[in-house]
Amino acid sequence: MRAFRYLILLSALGALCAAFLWQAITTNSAAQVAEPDESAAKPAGIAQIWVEAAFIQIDTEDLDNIRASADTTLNALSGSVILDAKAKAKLLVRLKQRESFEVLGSASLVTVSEQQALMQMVEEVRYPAEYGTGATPKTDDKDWPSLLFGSVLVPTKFEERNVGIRLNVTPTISPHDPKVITLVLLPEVSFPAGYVNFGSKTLTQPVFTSWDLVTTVHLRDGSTLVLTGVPTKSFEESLVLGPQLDRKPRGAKSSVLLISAKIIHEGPAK
Amino acid sequence: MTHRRPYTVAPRALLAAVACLALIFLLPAGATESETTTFTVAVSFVETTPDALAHAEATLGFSLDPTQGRCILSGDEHAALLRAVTGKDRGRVVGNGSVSFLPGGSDKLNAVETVRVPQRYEARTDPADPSSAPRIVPIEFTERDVGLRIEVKDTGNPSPDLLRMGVILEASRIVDWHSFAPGTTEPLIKTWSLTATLVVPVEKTLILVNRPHEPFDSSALSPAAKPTPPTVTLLLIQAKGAALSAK
Repeated sequence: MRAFRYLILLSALGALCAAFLWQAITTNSAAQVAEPDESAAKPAGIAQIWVEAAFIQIDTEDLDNIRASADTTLNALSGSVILDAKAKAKLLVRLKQRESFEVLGSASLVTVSEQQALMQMVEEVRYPAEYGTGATPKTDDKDWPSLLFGSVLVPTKFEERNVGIRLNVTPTISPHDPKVITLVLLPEVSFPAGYVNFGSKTLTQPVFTSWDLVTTVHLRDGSTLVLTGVPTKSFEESLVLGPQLDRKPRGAKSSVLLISAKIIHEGPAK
Repeated sequence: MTHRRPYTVAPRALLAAVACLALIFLLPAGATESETTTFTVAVSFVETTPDALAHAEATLGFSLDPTQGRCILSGDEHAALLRAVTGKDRGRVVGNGSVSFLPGGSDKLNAVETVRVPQRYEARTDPADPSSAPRIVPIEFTERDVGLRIEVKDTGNPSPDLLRMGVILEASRIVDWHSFAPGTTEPLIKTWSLTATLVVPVEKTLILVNRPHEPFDSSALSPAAKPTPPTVTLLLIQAKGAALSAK
């Protein structure tokens, strides 16, 4: 009889343990659904990183003048330099004062640490890829005076190309220093630089310029990496094809790429 | 014999207590607030001018560049920004929409127009008038979806007031039609897209500012094309949460 009582007691304890075990398993599963990765459970999980890439073009002469200015920070603008927020603001003021200053494109995005993100703003430029011979009807359309007579080449097939800005980035907050960000970057900007006219109004083809970069950099929170002094050949210098060019010669240009990163710690809404 | 009675009662009481405890632990936990919350993410793509953006930043009193200011706005700041950057000669909302989902869930919105675009042309003579000059006519078309696409997936909230989500946001529109020769008409399609994992506080708005390249000057290809002014694109992502109130 005593053994039977002990058996009941042990069964009860067993049931209790099973209940605890079941509770632990179900709680853990729920936690896994809510927090798919370890980083989300940590305070750093609510920190995300804002990244911006800005492609700027400026006359090389203007850039040299900025470099030669009395400001010691901007004197260092050669190759690459890292600026804090104040120095970045100062640089932008100096750049914007120059008439040749032109933002070719900038893209910004926000993503959490260790998550790849992509921002793109593009235009799909369609251009003739194949031509055929055809006699166009006589028309009063003043836009096409050269097509009024006889057989001409007309576009019969088109291709498309995305031009614009594209920023692909994977930022990671350093596990050793929460104020340091590692950026794996693939910024790219492209645009139609001009057109080559091959002798007929319908035989015009675009010329595309594109800059892209694949790099990994470490930046302090809120700082900006400036890559400068990459002289870009003018469109006319780079092209020898085509009997007729639509653009006038330009001066030597330099490209400036600004890459900024900032950790955004967001607390709950108040 | 009488001294054994207390021992017969104790295990039963213990058993009952254990059963009650087990019942308490095994019962499903009551619904928490996060389980009764429905999240809504509203997305707006806004095209505006650099001047209007500068005016908006002056109105708000801070820069939208987080290294100089901040990029998370309250509801009032969101409304003030929209007032400053939209309107005649300032800018417009080129696409907006919202999706709703439960915690851990996802939602998708496709609000698009399918546009048929000529792909191939041929010079053909009018069969009714074989002596007439051939005309350029489209003989092959392709389909393009133009509009707004929003995909949001809740990837686990670090706290009830923060929404962590994977997003795919895309807005596209036809900005112009080009004619490369009489009889040909080709669209110029502009697309903005973002793929990222974000954390947005509930009842707040994340804003991203993007300055596109110089607009495509297509006048050399298509005399009928009109030059478009330089624009700044703003992407606003607003998170909202609505919890069911207790009866």
